[in-house]
Amino acid sequence: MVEATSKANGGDAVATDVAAAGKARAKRGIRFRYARYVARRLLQAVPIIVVIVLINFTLIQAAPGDPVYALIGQMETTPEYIAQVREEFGLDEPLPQQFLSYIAKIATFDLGYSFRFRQDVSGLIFERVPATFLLMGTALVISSLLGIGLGVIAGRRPFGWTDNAATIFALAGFSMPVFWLGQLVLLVFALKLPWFPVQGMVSLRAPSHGWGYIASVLHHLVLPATVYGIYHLTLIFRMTRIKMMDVLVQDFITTARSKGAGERRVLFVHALPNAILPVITVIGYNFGFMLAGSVLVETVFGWPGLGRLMYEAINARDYPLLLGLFVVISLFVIIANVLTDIIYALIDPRILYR
Amino acid sequence: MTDVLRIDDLTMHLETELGTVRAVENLSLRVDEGEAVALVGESGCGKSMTALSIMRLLPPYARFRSGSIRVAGKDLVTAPERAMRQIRGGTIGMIFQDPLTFLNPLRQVGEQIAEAVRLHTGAGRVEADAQALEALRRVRIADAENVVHNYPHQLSGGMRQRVLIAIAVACRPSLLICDEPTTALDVTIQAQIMELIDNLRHELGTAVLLITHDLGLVAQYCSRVYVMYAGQVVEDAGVREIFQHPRHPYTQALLQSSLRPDRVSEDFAVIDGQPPQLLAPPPGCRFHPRCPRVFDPCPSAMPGLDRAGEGRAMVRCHLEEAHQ
Repeated sequence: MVEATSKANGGDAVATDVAAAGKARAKRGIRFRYARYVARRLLQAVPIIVVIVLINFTLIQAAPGDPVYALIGQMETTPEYIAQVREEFGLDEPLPQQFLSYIAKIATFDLGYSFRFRQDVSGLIFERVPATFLLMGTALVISSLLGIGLGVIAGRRPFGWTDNAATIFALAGFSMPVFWLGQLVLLVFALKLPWFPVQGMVSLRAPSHGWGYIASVLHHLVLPATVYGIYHLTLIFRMTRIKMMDVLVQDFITTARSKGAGERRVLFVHALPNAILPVITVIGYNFGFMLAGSVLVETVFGWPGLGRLMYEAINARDYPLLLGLFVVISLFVIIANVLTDIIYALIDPRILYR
Repeated sequence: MTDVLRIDDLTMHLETELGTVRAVENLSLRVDEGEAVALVGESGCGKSMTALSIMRLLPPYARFRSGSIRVAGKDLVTAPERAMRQIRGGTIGMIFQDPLTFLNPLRQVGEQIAEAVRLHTGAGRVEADAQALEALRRVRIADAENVVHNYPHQLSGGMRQRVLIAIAVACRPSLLICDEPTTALDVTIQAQIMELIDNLRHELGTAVLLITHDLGLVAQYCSRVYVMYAGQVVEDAGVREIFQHPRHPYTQALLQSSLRPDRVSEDFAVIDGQPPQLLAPPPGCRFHPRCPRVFDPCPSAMPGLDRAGEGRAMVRCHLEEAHQ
């Protein structure tokens, strides 16, 4: 009897050990697969970067205008002086040579020298990156949260009144160009109602650091981030809505309900994760569009970011700066895409087993 | 013997754009504690709609018109949604036809079982995980310690059906509704799953409502049978009575059309015609357009479900009324 009891206990202990070992093995397996997946995605990004640098370079070379004249301006000069300037900036070398030296420099984050600003391109760009990322990031968060939230509500009862209201709101936001809606919002909320500042990222009278600085930046951030976020929420909303409609009629939703899961649990724990993959793709794409479109929103709101820098670079035909901007923005877009893929696998483990 | 489920005179309509679908009409059904009862009929006769009515998992355009569904002292027709959540997965477990699509593809099977436990017992994560593992062992999954961490796509159809059963019985329900549980599985797996359900019925004392069109399963595993035709119960009898002395012409036809090893293939019969459209069911007896023994009253008057013979059988047929 005593022996039997101890045997039974021993058996239980073994069972617990087996369970723990199984859990550890399962975890190790999935971590290894995940690391391999991430490494593969990162490696795939390398050739894309090279091709993008080449395309950018070709594009700029094909554009009309000669950078030498932008450098010299309207001043009357001798051909000798022009040749000298050409040589000084390496513009007399053959194109493949220019490209190769460009790639070599990019690898060391030397993006050349801006004619217009008389300053290193990389320094110029990275000075502006935080401002743009603050604006893009906030707009991305606003558009994602609002878009997904509205999409879930609308997808739950398609063609109901909440769905119709959300659809009208989203389509209206999407139909208005950012520069127009931006100016309209400035007119109303900055001029008629002096709630928000009109231009810039921080008020001149604000302290240069600490809470006062942060408060001033946030105050300046509200209007541009909201305008930009509303514009970009439409695709997220439409995609969430249609995928929720699709997922909510699937069989495993019935299983969840038949276990006794409540409506909120069914929506957010069972349906949304199954609906969100294409939504994440859209958010990843949006990031690229947002960077490209930052020219408009940053110009309208006087936001000192990459978009305004690009606007100035184009006006001055500042090739090194433009090329640098294109390369850096492309890099960010590639990084966003790799991140999208990595998040994909976090949500859907089936991707790791392909 | 106390009943775990008692449906009285239930009528449920689907209000579609094409009109009213009379999915369930004047249906009465009872399942006693620990008993295995079959609900048999062709596709589209309202079997699954009856099951979904019990769980109240009907589409939004479904309407209860009359009757009651009594479970654990509550009428599920009028119970608030919160009470229904406790019934679903707690008092009544349900498994479905196609195990491939009824599991959430993004979550480990252990989590999906533990969720049912946590929804009904307030157990913590660790405790729920332990119970999930136990539930997997209960449904005879070998290597359950590893399978809890698997995702549905890593499992075979039979394994997934076992997981679904584990979810359904995780909280030891008093009734397990099985809606065509083996239709999507191959024959050897079918037998294993039915054996498992039968074992669980004895182990846990769970009553089983088996919804099927497979009379072979009924003969083997059930003690009573409800035969459904066009949204109505047409015959309600013990399993032996049904097989030895089927009374309703539809039941007779159903038995003749099922394959049996002791019968030569020439005897295999087909029921003529199509099951009726429940949008516009025929007047009188619903079965009369296809009935080989149709006579005067059938096209005009609907027969009642009445006691027939000396046994407990109930039959909805004018022939039985004429006998008495």
